[in-house]
Amino acid sequence: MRTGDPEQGDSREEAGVVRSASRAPRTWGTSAGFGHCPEWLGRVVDGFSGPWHVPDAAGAPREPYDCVVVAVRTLSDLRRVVPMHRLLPSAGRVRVALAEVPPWATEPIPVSGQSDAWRHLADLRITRTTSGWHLDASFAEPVAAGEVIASVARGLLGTGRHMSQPVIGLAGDHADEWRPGDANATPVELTLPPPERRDAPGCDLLLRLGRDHDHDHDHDRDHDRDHDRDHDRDHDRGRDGGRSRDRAEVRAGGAHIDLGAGRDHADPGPLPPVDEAVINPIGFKRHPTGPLAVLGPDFAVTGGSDVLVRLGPRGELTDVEVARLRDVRGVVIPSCDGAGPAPIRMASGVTAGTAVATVARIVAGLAAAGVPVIARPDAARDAALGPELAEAVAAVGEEDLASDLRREETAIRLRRIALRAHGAVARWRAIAASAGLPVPPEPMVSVLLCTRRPEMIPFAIQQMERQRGVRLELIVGLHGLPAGSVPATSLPVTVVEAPGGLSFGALLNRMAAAASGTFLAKVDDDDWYGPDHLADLLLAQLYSGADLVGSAPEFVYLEPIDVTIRRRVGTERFAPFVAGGTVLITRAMFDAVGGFRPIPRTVDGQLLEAVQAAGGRIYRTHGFNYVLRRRNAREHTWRPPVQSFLTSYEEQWRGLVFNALMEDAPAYGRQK
Amino acid sequence: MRQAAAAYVPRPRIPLNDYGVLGDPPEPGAWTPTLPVSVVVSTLRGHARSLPLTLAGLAAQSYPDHLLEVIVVDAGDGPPVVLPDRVPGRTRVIRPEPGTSTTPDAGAAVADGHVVHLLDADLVLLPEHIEAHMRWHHLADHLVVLSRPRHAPGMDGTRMDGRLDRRLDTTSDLRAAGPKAFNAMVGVPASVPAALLRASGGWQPSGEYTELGYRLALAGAVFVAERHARSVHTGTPAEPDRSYLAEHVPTLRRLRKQRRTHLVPYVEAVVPVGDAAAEDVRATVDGLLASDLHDIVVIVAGPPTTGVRAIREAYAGRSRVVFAEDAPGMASRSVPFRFHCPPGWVPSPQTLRSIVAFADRKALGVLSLALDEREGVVSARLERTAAMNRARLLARPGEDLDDLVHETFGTLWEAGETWGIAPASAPRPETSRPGQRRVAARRSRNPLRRGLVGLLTRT
Repeated sequence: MRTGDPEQGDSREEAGVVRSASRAPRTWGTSAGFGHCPEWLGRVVDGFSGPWHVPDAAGAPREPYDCVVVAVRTLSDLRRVVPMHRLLPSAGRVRVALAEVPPWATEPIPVSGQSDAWRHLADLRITRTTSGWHLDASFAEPVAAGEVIASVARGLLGTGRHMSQPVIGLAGDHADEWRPGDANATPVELTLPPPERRDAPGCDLLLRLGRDHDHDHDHDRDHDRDHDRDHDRDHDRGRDGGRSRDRAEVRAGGAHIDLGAGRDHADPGPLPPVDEAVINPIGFKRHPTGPLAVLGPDFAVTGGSDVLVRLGPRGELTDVEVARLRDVRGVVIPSCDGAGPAPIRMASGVTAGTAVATVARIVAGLAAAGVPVIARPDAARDAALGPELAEAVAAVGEEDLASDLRREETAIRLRRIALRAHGAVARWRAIAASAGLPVPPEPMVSVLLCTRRPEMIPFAIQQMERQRGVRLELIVGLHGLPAGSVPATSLPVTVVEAPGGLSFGALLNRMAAAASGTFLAKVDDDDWYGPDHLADLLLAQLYSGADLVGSAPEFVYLEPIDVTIRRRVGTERFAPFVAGGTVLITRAMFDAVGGFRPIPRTVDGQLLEAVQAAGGRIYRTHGFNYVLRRRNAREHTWRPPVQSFLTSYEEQWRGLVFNALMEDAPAYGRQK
Repeated sequence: MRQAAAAYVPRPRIPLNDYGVLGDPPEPGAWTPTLPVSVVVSTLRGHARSLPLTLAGLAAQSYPDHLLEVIVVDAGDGPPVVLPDRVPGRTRVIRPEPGTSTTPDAGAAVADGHVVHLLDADLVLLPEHIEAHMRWHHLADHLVVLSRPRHAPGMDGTRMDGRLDRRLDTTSDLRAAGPKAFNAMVGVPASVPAALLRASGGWQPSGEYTELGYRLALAGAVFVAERHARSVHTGTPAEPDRSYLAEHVPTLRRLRKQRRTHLVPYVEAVVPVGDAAAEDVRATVDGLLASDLHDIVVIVAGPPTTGVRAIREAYAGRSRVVFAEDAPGMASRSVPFRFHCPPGWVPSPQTLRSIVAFADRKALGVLSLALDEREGVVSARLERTAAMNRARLLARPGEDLDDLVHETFGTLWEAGETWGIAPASAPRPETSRPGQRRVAARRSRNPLRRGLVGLLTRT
C-alpha cells in the first residue's frame, strides 16, 4: 500500500486488533463535486461525516468494508465516479447520496445488468431528499460498490449511450472527467503500466494527465489528498512549462495497435470534453424570465446583483448549474485580458493560461447546454474552443438574444457546434482517429419516405439532399405508383413498390426491411425540413439517450388561410408525442416493438405507444428544422380543423415564413 | 405644366403612422418644389382685422409664387372682405351665396392646387411656413401635415397648445401614435392633399378640426407633425364642441359613456344573407344586437327574396338594423370598423367590444376569425376602415388589398371560438363578465385543442 492516508491506515490497524469485540462499523467514503462547497458535504449523508477518500488508481482496498458511502453533488459528478468504479472497495452496504438533481432527471433506480452484486441484494431503499436522492442498498455478502454505482448511473441516464470503445486507460488527477460515465474505462496509476485484462491489453489508449506546481492548491475534491507524494513526478514532467495546467496526453496503450514512427502520443486538446449526457439542452426554456447574466470573478454567474450559480474553480459546469441558468437570457463572458468591463479575477498563483482554458471550458459547456453566450473574440480562448465554435460565439450579439425566437435560433446554432466539437463522443472519435486507431463510420440513418403523390417526390428528395452532417440512405416507398417516379439523386436510394391496397404501416415495414441504417427516420413528402434536421435529431438522440426522438410540430403553415404559426409546444424534454414526420427511432427499438402497426392511418402514433409500452423513452427536441404543412381540408383528411391551430398559437406570420434555421427551404406548393 | 408637375407623387407604404420610413425631408431652400398649393384662409370667426397680417405673411413666403394661390373665404357675417395692398400674386376672395356652406370647404372646392393648406385669418406665418409643410407633400400623397402655432403674448392659448405638445412628445412627433394620430389635429395650420380631402368627405358645416382629422384618418391619411413650420396665433382658440364630437367621432370612446346609439356608429356589422336559412340570419343579427356595444349598426345584405322579406318584417322596428340589396362595397366614410359575420354564427355580447379592443391594442388592420372548415374556411372578419382605405389608396392594379393592409397596419388570424363566436345550433354558454371573455376563452378546455393531439401523431 503506497498511500500515506493516515485515517485509512489507522482504521485498518484498529480493525485488526479488536476484531472480536463489538467494533464500530468500518465505513469507507468517497465524494465528488463538493470541492467548492465542502460544508455541504458534511450534511449530505446522515450519520457519516468523513473521512472522505479518493479512489486510488493503485487498486481498491482488498478487505471488504461494512459500508461504502459515495456522495456526489450532481449527475455530472456521478458520471465522473463511474470510470473509477473499479477502485471502490467492496462492502455489505452501499449508500449513494446524490445531493442535487436537475428537474428533468429520472429517479436513481439501479439497472442491474449482468452484475453479480445485485444477486446478493437484501434490501434497497431509495429516498427523496430535499434536493436530491439517497440510495441505501444492503447485501447478503460484500459486493463491489463500484458495480452498484455503475448500475445507478445506468438507471439515471439510460443504457443506450454509445461511448465504450476504444478502451481508455485513465491516469492522473481529473482524468475521470475525460471519460464521464464510461464503466469500461481502466483506471491506471500514473507511474505503472496499465493493468492487463483477461487475454487482452488493459487499454487501447492511455490518457495521462500531468500536474504542474501551480496547481497544487486545487481544492476541488481532493482537499484531503496528500500532495507531497506526487511532487517528484511533477518535477520529472516539468517540460510542460506551466502553460497548461493539466497537460493531457494520449498514449497508445495496447501492443496490438500499430502506430507509425513518431506517432506514439497524440494531443487530446486543451479542454476536457463536455459530457453530453448531462450538459445538454434538455430543459431549455423558450421564454426565459431572467436578464442577461455575467460571468464574474471567481466564476460566479451573476444576474443583476444576485449570484445565480458559482462554478467550480476549474470551470466545472454541471447539470445543476445549467438548470439554474435556464431562466437567464444569456451569459456575458468578460474578456480574460482585462480589456472588458470586469475582467475575470483569478485566485493568486493561477496563471493567465489557466484562466483562459477555464473560461474556454465554461463557454463550451454553456454553449453545449443551450445557454447562449456573448463573448468578444479572444485569441487564446478561441484557440481552445476551436475555430468553428469561436466563430459562432463571436457572431452572437446582445440583439440576437432580445427576442425569444432569435435567442432560440442562436442557442440551437451554438449547441449544435459545441456538442459536435466538444461532446465526449465526438471528441473521443477525433482523439482515437488522431492516435491512429481505426474509427467506425458515423451511424447511418435510413430515411423512410412513403408517398402516393408523384408530384411531391422531387420536392421531398430535394429536401433530403439538403441534409448535412449525417450519413443517410433513402428508402422511397411508392404507394400505388409506377417505379419510374423517382428522379435521379446523389443519395443512395432503394425503391420499394407496393400496390395502393397495401396498408401504410405494412408498406413502411417493408421499407424498413430494406433499410440498413442504425436509425430509421420517417419523413413526410409535403412538409419542409431544414438542412440540419436529421443531424439535430441524431444529436438529440445522443444527448437524451432516448429510443425514439422527434421534433415538436412548432411551426405550421396553414395553407387554407396562408398563414404560418408557431404553436405553443414544450420542447427539449421527454414527452409522449412528437411530430409524425420527424420520428427517428433506433433500429434496435424498432425491431423490439416489431415495427409499424399494419394499419392505414395513425401509424406514427401507434409506434409511439408501442415504444412506451416496451419501456422505451421518447424525446422531443426543438421544432426549428421542421415546418408542417396543413393542407386544405379537401385534399387531405384532417382531423383538427384549421381554427383549432389558432386557439393556441404563440406567433403568427402572413404567408409561408421560415425561421432562420430552415435556410430558405424550397417553397414548393405555396398557395398563390 | 401644373398638370405635369402634379402627375406623380410617390406612394410609399407607411406602417401605421410611422412616417419615419420617409426619411428626413429636405431642408428649406435646398430643394425644388413642383406641387401647387392652395391656401384657404377662413375668416369664419370674424378675423377681418387680422386678415392683412395673414396675407402679408403669405406674401413673404419662400414657396415659389407660381405654385401658390390664396383663397380667402369670406364668412359673410360682416362687411365684405377687402383685400389689402400686400397680398400674394394670386389671391381671390370667395363669398358663398347665402344658405350655402361658408366654411373652408367652400374654398377647398374651388381650389385647384394639389394641396389645400388650411389657415385661419388670425394666423401670421413665418416665411418658410408653407415650404416646410410642402416638402412633406412631395414625399407622399397621403400625408396630413400639422404644425403648431405659437400664441401671441397676452392671448389665452395655453390649453390647446399643451394638448398638441403633449401628444407630440409622447409619440415622437406622432410617429408612434398609431391609428389615434388624428387626435393631434386640433386646429390649423394643417395641409391636406386635395384628393384626400375630397375622399374624406371634405369639411362639414359647423365642423371641428378633430372630426375632419378623424375622417382623413379613415380615408387613409398619415399625420405628420412639422415643428419647423412656424406661425403665430393672434386670436383666441376655440373650445371643441364635445357633444358634436361625441356624435361624429366614435373612436373618442370617452365621449360615449352613455349606453345609447349615436349618429355615427362605432361598428358596422354586415351579415350577408346568401342562401342561408332565415333563422340562421336572425340568430346572427340577434347576437349582434345583443352586443354590449350600443353604437353599432347591423346591415343585412341580400336581394329581397321571400326569406329576406321575412327578416325585414322581424326587424321593422329596429332602427339599428339596415337592409341592403348587395353587400356594401367600401365602408362608409365615417364608420371606423366593419365586422363581417356569416349567418348561422352568433357572437357573444362581449365579442364586438373585445375584438375591437384587441384590434386597437395590436393596431390591426384586419382581424380574421376562423369559424369552421368545410370546403373552404368559414370566417368572420373585422376591418379597420382606415386600413382598408389606406390599402385602396396604395394598391397597384392586381395587388391584394390584404397584403397591403398587412404591410401598413397588420393582419391576424384567430379562432372565432376564442372570441366567443359560436354556431347558432350550439347551446348558448353562460356569459362571463365583460373584459374577462378572452381570458376565459383561452383558459377553457376546448375540444379543438384536444383534437390537436391527433396532429402530433398524424399519418
